[in-house]
Amino acid sequence: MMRRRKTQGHTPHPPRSEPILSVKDLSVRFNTVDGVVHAVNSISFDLYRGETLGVVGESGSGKSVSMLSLLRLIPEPPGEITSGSAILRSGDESVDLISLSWKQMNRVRGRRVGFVFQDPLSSLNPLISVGKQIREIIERHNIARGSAAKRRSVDLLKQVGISDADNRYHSYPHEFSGGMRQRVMIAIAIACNPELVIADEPTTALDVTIQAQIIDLLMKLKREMGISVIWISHDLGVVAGIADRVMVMYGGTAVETGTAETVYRHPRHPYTVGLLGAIPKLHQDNKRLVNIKGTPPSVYSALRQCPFAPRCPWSFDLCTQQRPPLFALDGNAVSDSRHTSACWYDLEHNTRRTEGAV
Amino acid sequence: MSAGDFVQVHGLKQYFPVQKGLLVNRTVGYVKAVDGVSFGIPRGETLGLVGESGCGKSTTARSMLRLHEPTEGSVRIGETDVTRLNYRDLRSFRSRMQMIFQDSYSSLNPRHTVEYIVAEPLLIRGERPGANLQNRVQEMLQLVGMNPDHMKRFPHEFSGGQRQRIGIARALVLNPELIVCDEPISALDVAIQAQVVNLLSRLQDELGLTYLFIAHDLSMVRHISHRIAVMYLGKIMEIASYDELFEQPLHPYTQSLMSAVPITDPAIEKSRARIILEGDLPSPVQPPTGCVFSSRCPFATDLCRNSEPKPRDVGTGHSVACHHIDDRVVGPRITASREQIVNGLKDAAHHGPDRSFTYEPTQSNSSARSSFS
Amino acid sequence: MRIDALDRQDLRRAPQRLARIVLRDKAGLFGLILFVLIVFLALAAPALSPHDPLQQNLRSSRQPPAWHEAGSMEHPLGTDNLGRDMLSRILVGTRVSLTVGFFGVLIASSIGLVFGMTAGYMGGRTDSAIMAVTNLVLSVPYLLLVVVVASVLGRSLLNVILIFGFTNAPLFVRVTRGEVLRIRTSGYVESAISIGASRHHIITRHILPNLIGPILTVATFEMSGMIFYEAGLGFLGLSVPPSIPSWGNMLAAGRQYIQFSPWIATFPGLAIVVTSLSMNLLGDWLRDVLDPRQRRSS
Repeated sequence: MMRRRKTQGHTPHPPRSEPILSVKDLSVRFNTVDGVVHAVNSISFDLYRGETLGVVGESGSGKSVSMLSLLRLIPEPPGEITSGSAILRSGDESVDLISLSWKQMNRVRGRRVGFVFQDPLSSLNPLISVGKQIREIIERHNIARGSAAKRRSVDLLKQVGISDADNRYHSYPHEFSGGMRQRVMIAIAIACNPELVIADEPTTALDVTIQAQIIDLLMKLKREMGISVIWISHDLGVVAGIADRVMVMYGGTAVETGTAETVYRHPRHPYTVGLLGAIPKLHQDNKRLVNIKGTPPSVYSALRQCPFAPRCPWSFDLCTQQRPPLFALDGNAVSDSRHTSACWYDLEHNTRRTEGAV
Repeated sequence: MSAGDFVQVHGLKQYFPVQKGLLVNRTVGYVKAVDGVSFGIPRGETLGLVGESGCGKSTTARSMLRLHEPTEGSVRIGETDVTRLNYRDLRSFRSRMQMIFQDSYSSLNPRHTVEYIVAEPLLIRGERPGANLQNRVQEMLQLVGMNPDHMKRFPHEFSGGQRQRIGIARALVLNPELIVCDEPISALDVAIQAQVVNLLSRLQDELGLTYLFIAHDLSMVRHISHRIAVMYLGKIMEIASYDELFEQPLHPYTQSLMSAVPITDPAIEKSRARIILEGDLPSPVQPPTGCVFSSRCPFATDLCRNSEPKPRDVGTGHSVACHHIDDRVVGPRITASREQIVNGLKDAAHHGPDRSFTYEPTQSNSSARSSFS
Repeated sequence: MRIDALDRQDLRRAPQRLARIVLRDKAGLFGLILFVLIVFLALAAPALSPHDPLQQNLRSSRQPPAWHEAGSMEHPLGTDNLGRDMLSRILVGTRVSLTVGFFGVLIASSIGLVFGMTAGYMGGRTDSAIMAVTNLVLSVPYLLLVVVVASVLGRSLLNVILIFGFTNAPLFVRVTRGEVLRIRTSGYVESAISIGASRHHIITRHILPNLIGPILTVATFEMSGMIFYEAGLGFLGLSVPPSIPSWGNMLAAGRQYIQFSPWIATFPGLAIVVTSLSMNLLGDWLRDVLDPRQRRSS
């Protein structure tokens, strides 16, 4: 079908009240036999109702670990959240996810926050029919029971675009294709009307035409249900099409944040610039792609410098002596849409920074 | 395909029997993984072969190199018909055609050092271990941008991009003429993908290599290919030079693939026209009758479902297998969709990041970094 | 677990890695030391034995171990019902156990390697035929086989070894075949074919080296099992003749004195347990050490 994705990134948000999720100074480390891996180093961000935050980075950047640790979905031990808070608000009620007990957390997971993972085959139980798996979560969180729960499960299957839902309710995961399984995962994620869905590389394992289907579906549901989405991806192109705001991660830190339009059109961190230059454009001269030399850093030591400094063409002595804070770039006072970059070098004016941090 | 092409694949078929039965296996059908594929590659050029998983692109590569025994068809490389070689001749001919594998984790033997991995092709050809061989390995590692001091290490000690470089060094050590790259970058991070693609381009220029480059999406293929073939369910749907294909994607499937390539510009990516195909790839055991794409094609008619379109040459080496691209009823709709998609993509080309930085290390600190690259 | 950061940047050198694994796996290290000690004791048994293990002395029969008030340092572990020195007998018994274990496994793994590789590499009818015979052998109750052989050919060490060798071969056939099937379709074998490697090259350079790890691991577990079973057969009087001091024979002899002279049965029993334990620990350890990709499993 020929269609255009509904634009929703440009519509100015109404005066926003408070973010539904505020993460402050989150740090996560893993205590392994080889030493301490500093996987996430004090990241902070806000997420507003109905907004999509794209979290972009290469493998090892800490993008998945940071988001999964919010809901304690990392193995502990070896994982350990060493600092930070994550306030999830709805109405007047607000809870700090980091300080919740395991039992309280279980009432948040699946109910207020849904998940879509990269590999639906390992996330779905192979021995239980897909319908029952949806029904299970509905009943566990007391949304509905008995035949009402079953009806709701069938409706959800229809809602995620599975035809013949009444019969497909009884199918098992292996009888579905990868794209269909991801649809089931989405049905489970939205089954309890969550406020937030965390999608961890939901389309990475899929073919491009199926990827387009799944993105289309998730964005449609998000619009209809007013869900906020955190979309974790290594694919800058995918994120461009769906995110209102973007956070670029490298070496366990957020190196650049801002609205999607700003970050993609006016990137100010050397890593973002390089990453965008490394992606070929379909209609452009066949010139060489940007080569970011070297490989991503090992995070076995605590960060005392810019993690990108060893690969950065603009790095100078300060970069290896002190970790750069996030600098505000546009002087925009509105905290959530401002453009920030964690770099000692001002690419725009070709000068070195010493102060002006956020 | 023209008679002068260095690689000429003609009517290549690869069927795998589907067997059932408890005690005695009966063949109940065939997976037609590759079903009559023909193409040519001129010497020193790259043909990009694109399609989704299960379309038969990797099988095509393996049949060409006779890692599978092809069911039918011929593969000429230079003056040699590879399909007619006997076991002995085939083994020695393999030095002229090499493969770079997708999964560098499994394609490098975990028990061998990098030195042995790169030297193995030479050892098989009877070269003796020694300083000479070691020099050659070091040369190859340098050629692919690896530190030769690391040759005593094992594959798992390297990152994905570096392992892929080891695989490239191993493929190059015999001075092959044809290299089949089977999704060599699909498993790598974006920045590393660019490194590997740049390396392959440079090697092609320096060594005059001919590539068959396989990928599952169009974006990276565009960057390295001279010509591109789009495959779907064992058949080639469209084949054209890259300019031609990106300006004039005639086949609806090519159009849908192009519209599915994510663009790194939010405004355009959110608003551009795209074809979102319904459903999944059909089973290659029971492909749709008529045109194999008819079950998912937004423009399909009864003609498509009943008769198979033959590849037609529409000029300048551009060949398409579609009934409707120039008829009076459906043709204009296909053309309209093509224009919308191509325009969307062209917009993106003009709206990159606001300035293009020269992404080169400055003089003062380049020496400090050489150990990283 | 999805932690990409953990998966990269392991650029440490092999010796350090080995040292790291050895030190990390304390139990494995303990097993290794124990095993080396046991092998040493078996080899040096004649020199270390304070007495002739066969020499009877009825006057000092059933003498308790040295730490018992009625014991003496002359017989540190006491004597058995015929007055033979327990320590010397246990030391010499080590040889029987290790001989059975070692040669039994050698026969079983050799048969397993040859037939398993043939089945796995050739496939098709050859594979079906070998696996059919394998399953047939597996279905023969080995105890029955032992009884028959012992009564027909008599009790001897060689017979025990041969029976263990043949009845345990199917396990090795299966493990080898499974591994060969896995390796044969692996990326690196395909890569070897693509560079023009001969079958011989693929088998010797790619398949065999990758078989050693799994086979050696199974072998240690099997060896421990055989030592255990040999003792069991000895206890039933079906293993080596009573004239040879083996742990099983000693256990059987001590059974009737268990109430008043428990040490006669206890020490051979302990020896069996310690040997089995050391091999099981060693097997776990080998599995880790022999895999070059082995990183942080614990």
